[in-house]
Amino acid sequence: MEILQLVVSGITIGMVYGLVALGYHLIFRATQIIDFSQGEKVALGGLLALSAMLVVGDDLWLALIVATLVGFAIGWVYEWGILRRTYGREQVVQIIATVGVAQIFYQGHGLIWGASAIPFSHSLSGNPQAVLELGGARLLADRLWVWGLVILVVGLLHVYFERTRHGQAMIAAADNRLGAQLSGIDVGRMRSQAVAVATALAVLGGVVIAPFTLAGGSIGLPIAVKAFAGAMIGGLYSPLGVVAGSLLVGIIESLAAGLISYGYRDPVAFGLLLVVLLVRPSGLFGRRLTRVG
Amino acid sequence: MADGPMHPALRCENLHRRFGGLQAVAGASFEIEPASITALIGPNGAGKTTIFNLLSGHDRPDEGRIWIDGQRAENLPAHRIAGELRLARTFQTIRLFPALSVLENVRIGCHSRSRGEFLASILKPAWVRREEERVRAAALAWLEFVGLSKRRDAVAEALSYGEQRLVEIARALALEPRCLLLDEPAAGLNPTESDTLAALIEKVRGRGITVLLVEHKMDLVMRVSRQVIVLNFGQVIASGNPAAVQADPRVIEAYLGKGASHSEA
Amino acid sequence: MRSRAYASLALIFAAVFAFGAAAPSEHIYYLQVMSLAGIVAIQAIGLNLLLGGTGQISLGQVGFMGVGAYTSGALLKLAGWPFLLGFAVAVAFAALLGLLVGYAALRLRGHYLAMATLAFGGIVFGLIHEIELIGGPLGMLRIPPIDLFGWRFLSPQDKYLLIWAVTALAALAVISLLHSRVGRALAAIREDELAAAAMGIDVARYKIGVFVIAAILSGMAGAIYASYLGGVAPLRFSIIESIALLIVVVIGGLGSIAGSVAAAILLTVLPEFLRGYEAYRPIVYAVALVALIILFPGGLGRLLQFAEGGIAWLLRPVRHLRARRQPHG
Repeated sequence: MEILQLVVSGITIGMVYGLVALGYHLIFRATQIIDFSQGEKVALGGLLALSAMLVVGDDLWLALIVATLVGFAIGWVYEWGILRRTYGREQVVQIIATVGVAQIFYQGHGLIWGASAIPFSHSLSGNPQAVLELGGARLLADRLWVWGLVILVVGLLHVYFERTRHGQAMIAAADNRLGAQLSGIDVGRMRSQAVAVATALAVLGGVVIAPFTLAGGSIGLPIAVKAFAGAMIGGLYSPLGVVAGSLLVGIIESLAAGLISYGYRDPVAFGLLLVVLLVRPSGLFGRRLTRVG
Repeated sequence: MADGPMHPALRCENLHRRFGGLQAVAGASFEIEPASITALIGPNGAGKTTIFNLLSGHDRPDEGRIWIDGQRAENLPAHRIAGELRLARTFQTIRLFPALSVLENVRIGCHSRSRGEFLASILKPAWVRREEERVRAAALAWLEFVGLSKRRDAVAEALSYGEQRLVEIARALALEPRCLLLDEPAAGLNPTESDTLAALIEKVRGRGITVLLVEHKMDLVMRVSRQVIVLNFGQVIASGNPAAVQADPRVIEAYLGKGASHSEA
Repeated sequence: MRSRAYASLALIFAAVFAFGAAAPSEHIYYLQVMSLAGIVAIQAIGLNLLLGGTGQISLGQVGFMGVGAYTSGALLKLAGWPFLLGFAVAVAFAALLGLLVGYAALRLRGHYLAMATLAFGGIVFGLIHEIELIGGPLGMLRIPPIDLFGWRFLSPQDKYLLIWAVTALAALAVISLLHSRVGRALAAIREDELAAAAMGIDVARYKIGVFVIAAILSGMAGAIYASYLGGVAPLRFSIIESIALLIVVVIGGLGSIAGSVAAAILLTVLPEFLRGYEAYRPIVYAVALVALIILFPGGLGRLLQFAEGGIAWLLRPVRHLRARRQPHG
């Protein structure tokens, strides 16, 4: 049953990648930018939750809400202060800016909370050892909470974008900026919201994964790459696709860690990204120009 | 070359190109004589720029064949069509290298007419330095040819629109092309600049270079071209000397809409 | 224009070599710091050719350095090869990987290329961290020193001079390349790929070519680094180091080789004078990176241009004399 256990833990980490990848999707759709700082926001999540618990008491659920709201605010400030100033500029400028922000997040939480990861003994279910029996397989109750929570958030976002007027307006604004402006939608505000929500999602991912790993440390970069692999597999434009792709990446990396060696987890997942990027139909040659001149 | 059989400078046969639901070029065929000036005209969306892109290798036809100087070209990449088959082009929206100087732009045009790859470029033996001198002189000569010597050190994007057009033509001429494609060269020019351009096009042809231009300004087209090819819906609907084409009812219909030719007839 | 590019470089190298020749033995520590700055500078020159020359980004450049360091280190230590042979094979291996990454880069651009090169760097780091033969997480110790035809580079001063001689050659080579037919083709590609192709420029060939050169320079830096220190450990080749290299290039100014060399020195040496603030260095660099790229993408190179302008102004009388002797100015 080892493989089943590996898949189960792969799904859990894949769910977190899914939240991060959903953030890639939102920011890319709104701004045409891949935000390299998405991964570091995950590292920030666990740390924010730890600090929140110093204030609100030993309640992970409350800390989760506080951390997510703080993440939303950080995202808003980040969009306003930095990202906004790169719109319409060369991609190299955008890349270097968001890579720099990733460094600021990484070094910043290193300064505030220390460079090494911090043990995280809190649990969503209240008991980190609680186990459920499901058809012979043993499942940590905490995993179930993560799965449920991520599915709930993805579902809520889906309903928001597909069923509410405000969500539809956001999609319209993202896909047709000029048209949106003409019909009175505030594109700048839409972009702020997209980045803020994406940041909140990554922070939330950081909170829910912390009980299984540690909080903070240098987890950000690998998560950024792996969630991007998930987003690429699912197709960056499809919100449900990026979550599904991320689950696949989580499962593959978990199997590689368990069946080959733990240390090959990252190289295998990164190699997967390279393969996906290169076989993607729309490379330089797939995207022949339709009109020159 | 002069001893071989005479080929048309350009020949295409049954060209097709579709973008999604839009059939931009639908079976176009035509031939162009060497050292002549030909205009490709037609209403917006008739497929003129698409044909230019197919000829220059910036796009590939779904079907059909292209010969440049008798050599098959439809599957060659753009840089080989420019460098080996000596077909140069300009673009509808000017595509200079904006941050580089005028002289640098034209020197880049000399790329395929000079030698020296990575190692030679780093070590710069005497022959490379001689090449550099030669390329610089050639680029200056082409700037002189289009009348822009004074502006050689200006940054390309700082030039006026008309001057940028001329730099783009000088840069294309620096390839020493046998065939030059000009995509709406007179767009945005004032009447004086248009006249200068017409004279320049004649001067280029005088050097034995075949010129094919897409142009909306009919006075220019009628003045310089020997042959006019009219496109509509991606097909050649008429072709011949300017006067004959102007009188052709299909052409009038294409430009003025159905019924126009009847009411005038 | 070209003489200006060489002017500030000449000044920098004059200072570097004067320091190397004059540094008394109690300054061994600074010789070592500056040697490491040279290692960074060699790589920064390559990354700047890639980024400033053709606009292609690499966030995994130190991966090539890792390949060079570990290949050379392993061949010298485990197989007992002479330095030059190990060095050559290591650089060839880095070049081969540069060819592959460069080929892949044709299909990817912008954000996608950045992410792909990040993944490449991550894979190299992951592998050198895992492969037991080359020491795994502990790395390799006792790698034989640099040895050119029996001349062993053992003293800090010798090593310093060698590293900076290589840096100077790399800088001269890349500047020479930028001021040539190929350099113009690279600029054309950076400005407008379609127009470049219409000029007969084989875009793919040159884009791959600069990736290979950048990989060669990083591979060389790695092979020299391994023998310079006599040991390697995986952490020097992590993604963070690739980003640190990017910071050097951006602060030095995209397209300015002299700027890259100056920034490599500045960012390596500066911390030595800011003891006690050590913990804040990385975040200050990161903030500087973001601020510079948003507000002043020209970087240090632009400042150097002002300085070059000043030097050119001072040399004005000389140039007037020279110009008068030639028929055309």
